[in-house]
Amino acid sequence: MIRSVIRSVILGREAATGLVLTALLVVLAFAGPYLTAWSWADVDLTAFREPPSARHWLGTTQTGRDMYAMTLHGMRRSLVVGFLVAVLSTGMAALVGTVAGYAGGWVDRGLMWAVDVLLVFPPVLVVAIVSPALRGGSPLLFVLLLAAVMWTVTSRVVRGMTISLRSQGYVVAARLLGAAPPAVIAWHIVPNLASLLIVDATLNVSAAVVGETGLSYLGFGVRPPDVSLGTIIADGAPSATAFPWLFLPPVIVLVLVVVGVNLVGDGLRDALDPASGRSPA
Amino acid sequence: MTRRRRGMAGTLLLAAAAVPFASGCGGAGGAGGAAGGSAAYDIGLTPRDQVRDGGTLRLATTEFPAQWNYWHLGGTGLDAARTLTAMMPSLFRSDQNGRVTADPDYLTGAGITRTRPKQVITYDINPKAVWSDGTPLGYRDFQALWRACDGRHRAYQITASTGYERIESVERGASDRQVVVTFARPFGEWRGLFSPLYPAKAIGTPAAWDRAWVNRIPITAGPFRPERIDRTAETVSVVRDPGWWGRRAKLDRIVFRYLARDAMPGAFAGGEIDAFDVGPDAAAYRRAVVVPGAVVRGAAGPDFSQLTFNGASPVLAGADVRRAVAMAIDREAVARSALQDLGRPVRPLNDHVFVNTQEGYRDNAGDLGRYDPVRAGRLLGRAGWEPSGRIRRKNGRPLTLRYVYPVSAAASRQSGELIQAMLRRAGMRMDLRPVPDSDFFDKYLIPGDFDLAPFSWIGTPFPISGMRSIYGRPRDGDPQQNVARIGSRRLDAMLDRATAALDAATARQYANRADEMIWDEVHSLTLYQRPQIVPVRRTLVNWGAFGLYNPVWTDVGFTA
Amino acid sequence: MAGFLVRRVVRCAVLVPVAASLAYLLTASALHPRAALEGRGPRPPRGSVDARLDELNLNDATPLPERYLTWASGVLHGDLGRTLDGAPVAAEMGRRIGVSLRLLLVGAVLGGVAGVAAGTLGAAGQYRLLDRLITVGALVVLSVPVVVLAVLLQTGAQWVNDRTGVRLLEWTGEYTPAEPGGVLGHLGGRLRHLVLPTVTVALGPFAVCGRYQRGVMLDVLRADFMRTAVAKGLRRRRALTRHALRVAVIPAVTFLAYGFAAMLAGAAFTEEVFGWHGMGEWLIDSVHREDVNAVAAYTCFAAVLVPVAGLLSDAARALLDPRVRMCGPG
Repeated sequence: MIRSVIRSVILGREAATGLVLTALLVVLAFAGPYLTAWSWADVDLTAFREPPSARHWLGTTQTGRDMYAMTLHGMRRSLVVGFLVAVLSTGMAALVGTVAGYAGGWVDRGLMWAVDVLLVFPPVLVVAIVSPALRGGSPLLFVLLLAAVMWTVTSRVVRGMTISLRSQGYVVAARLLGAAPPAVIAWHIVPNLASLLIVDATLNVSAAVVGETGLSYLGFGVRPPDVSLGTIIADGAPSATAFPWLFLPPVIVLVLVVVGVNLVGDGLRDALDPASGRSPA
Repeated sequence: MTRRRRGMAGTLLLAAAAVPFASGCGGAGGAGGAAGGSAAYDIGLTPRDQVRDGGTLRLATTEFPAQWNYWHLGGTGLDAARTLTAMMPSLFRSDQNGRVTADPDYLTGAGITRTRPKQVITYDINPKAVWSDGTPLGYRDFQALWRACDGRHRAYQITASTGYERIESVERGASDRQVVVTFARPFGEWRGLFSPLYPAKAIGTPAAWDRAWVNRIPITAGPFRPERIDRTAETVSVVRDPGWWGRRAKLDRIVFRYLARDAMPGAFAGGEIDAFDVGPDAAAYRRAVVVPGAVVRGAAGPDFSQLTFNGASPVLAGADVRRAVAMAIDREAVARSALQDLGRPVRPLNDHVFVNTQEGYRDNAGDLGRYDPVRAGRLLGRAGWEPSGRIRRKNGRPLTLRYVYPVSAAASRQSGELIQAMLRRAGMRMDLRPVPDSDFFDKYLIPGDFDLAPFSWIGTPFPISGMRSIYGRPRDGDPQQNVARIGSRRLDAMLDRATAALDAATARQYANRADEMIWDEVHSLTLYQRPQIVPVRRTLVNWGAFGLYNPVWTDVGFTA
Repeated sequence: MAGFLVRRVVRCAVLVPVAASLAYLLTASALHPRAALEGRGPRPPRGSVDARLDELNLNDATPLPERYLTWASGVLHGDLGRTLDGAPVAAEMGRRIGVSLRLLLVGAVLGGVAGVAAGTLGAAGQYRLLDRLITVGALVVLSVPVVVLAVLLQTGAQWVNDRTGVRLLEWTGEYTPAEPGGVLGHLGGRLRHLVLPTVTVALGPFAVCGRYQRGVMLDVLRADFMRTAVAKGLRRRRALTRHALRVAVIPAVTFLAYGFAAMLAGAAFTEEVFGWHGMGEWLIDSVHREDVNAVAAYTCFAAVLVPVAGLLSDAARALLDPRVRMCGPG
């Protein structure tokens, strides 16, 4: 089955387009900086907030930093953060949701109770509380924190759908045939949730990139003068209409990344069509 | 100290002394022609007879407090204080250059009646002045405010005791309407005291102090009186007070509306407010200038941004290293970046006490005022920091500085990026350290956990009395506001003389001599004077960028 | 259904006090109202600060358990304490909940419904032009900060006003303060002020619900029971609305219910850029001001809201999902 999925992902028009787009962006992020003499950290004291020109291809910021170099630098960082957070938070949602929904009883109540408690605390507050303890911690911690505040609602949805699926004939059959719960979840429940999870992961990529700004704001995450796509977007947002070159490059890049991921997701979803996921091939 | 949180794109603002109520919000003006092209104020000054009678003025404010007792610890900040000026008595008014005179609506006279053995001030209250409940203004009101604010009564939660703690007694003079104030120690800026004045009846007990002004303004004495405090829309509307004894106000009504800074350009474009302060936000400026029927009024503001050195940090302990850092910073470029696209002249500020346009301003910077990276390098070399690779080292240790700033202060971050690049060229490494806004002072500046700290000081017509706590040596281990921990006995003595000097010109002279010492010890590096840029409806007159000038509420209005 | 409700209420009755207490303890240890007061310039006298903190039950010199007990006994009597500037928290919160509901309810529901419709359309015509447009639109909306969307909408509205010469749309606050005009005029003013924020608020749920709806719908369309339904002769359109939509809408409803709860907190940017003073702005301001009582009260509110959202989404599932009823709990 896995091989057939891989084949249809590669052959599918959607997925191929998405993969090519994503690959191009990755190449741009890593090779692009060599095309210009400016580094993301450089400050050009003769060009404060200037529109795009031959000298600075995408213009400069208020402090004379090159937007082209900054955007590509921010992209490198945000791509990694976005993908990691998306995979982690969707994975967590799938795990907790399916286990709670499938097991039912006190496992379900306990897990959902924990989810509710997490939902009660607004992310702003959670981050404000934990960030002093974690400030200056490794980037991985920061990815974990972002993922931690993002998985909760999806896990509730997954749980609901799992409860519905649990009573489906083929799941009941598998259980009666003696399949262990983890196997049932992995082979019969998750494939039927694939669409939801893929959509979720796609949305999480952009949510992570944008949400990272909130953390940077609390003195956590990207530390100036370092930048990420999220912080460039947040800094440029107030100037979006007055000085569009401060805002458009990072937003366009982010949209392209998300569109690419979305296309790959669509292709993956088509390949994983639940009709075929029903029998463990 | 903090104005309002993240919406504010600017730096953190600090007040040296209790911000004088009447300080308006302004810049300083062209005294001595120092303005360098920037006006002291720009308010569309128009004679009263050309101002239309009636109309509603709608203004944006950046805060909406619950506590309307200005002197209360939980009380109003700068912007809400401006709302209060339309209703509460301020005894003195400042002109555009920070020259202060008694307001005849409230005082028929006020002055020093004795200096030996003690300073005595006598105030004669305008006999027509009454509170809105019918009680005349009188010495009891002065007494009540002094008792609350002198710092000896713990039951009164006060924001500051500056000045009041020097008062020995407040007594009745020849009548209830004459007040005699005796100072135990002389206090030059006595005109900054007792404004706004509050009625003794509504602040005289600790309970009233705390509760009588929460969500309401019970008693007033000004050209306007409160009409409605709308806590849902967070607006305060005031209407012309028929009981006002002075010149009749032109406007029927003023609506003060709390808005986040992000919302102001849109509100102005949409015609829902008549003026707002763009602060350092070039995008807001761009958006406002294209609004039909709008005109931008601009002046040199009274606030200035500066960089404080930590004299107790191992790297910056020597004055020569501090001097080298100061010389390696191109202040002109920092100012140019900050003021880019705002249409204001750019020039560094060279006085710690007075702003470019204020009466008393003097360029005291000397050599430090010039960008000179070569000399900076020589100074560093002399102090033992030798070049090794890209960073200078001393005994193997790299020259590294911590630049600590509040995370929401975008302007501080931007200055930091520039200064970082400039210092790198001189072989110094500087790390940017954003910290949570509320920790900035308590956890970093006061304990001394920083090397360089950028923030702004609020300029006022009364800059001298606050200097002692900023530039004086720490007392009993408490640095007070002198987070630089740099000072000298000579400077302390000069500051005391300036504070106690009762003649304004003499006080300014002492203050400038103190400033020379402050430059000499490299306590901090002043960067630039912040401009005040206020888009207004073209028809709105006697309102705009005030500098140090106090709004004359009775004359504000529309021409058509 | 009755038993289900009772169980829910009991769960809520446990969750709320636990979450609220946890919230208070965390908030009180994480925020430092003393720093906020002492940070004023010039530094206020120490005695003054202590007196203030004592009065508000915020003094860090008092042991935390003691402060907690004072707070909790107040809450039991309906007293949520006072904010740092001395206003009663309960009244402030009540007012702001009203503002947030007026700002968000219409927009969130409209956005959710539109999102479901768009997602369904997209799934029905997968990879057609409309599907592509909706997809890209949703992804753009999710990538652009609310502030920018709001400013663009305001610019557009300005253009409309200029073209028509009438102030059709206004976008600052809920209404124009101190505006003359009767009840009708006031109502009209509120409507004029509501359009733009509602559109802004609706964009998020539209994008999110739309994406999930499309994904789930695609699955359902290929599921057994749909094939059976079509095979049994139901027309595709009818099968789509009768069967598929019913099942596929459940995740979107759940996201909307929880999303709405989150929006009450997270709409701070929308609130600020349109000059409304609701819960989101309050939370951010209060955290910033280190105002423990206000933040704790906010969290109590969230603690009530989250189980309610859970209740709504479970009820929707029970009502809509034929599989749950057909097979019963397995």
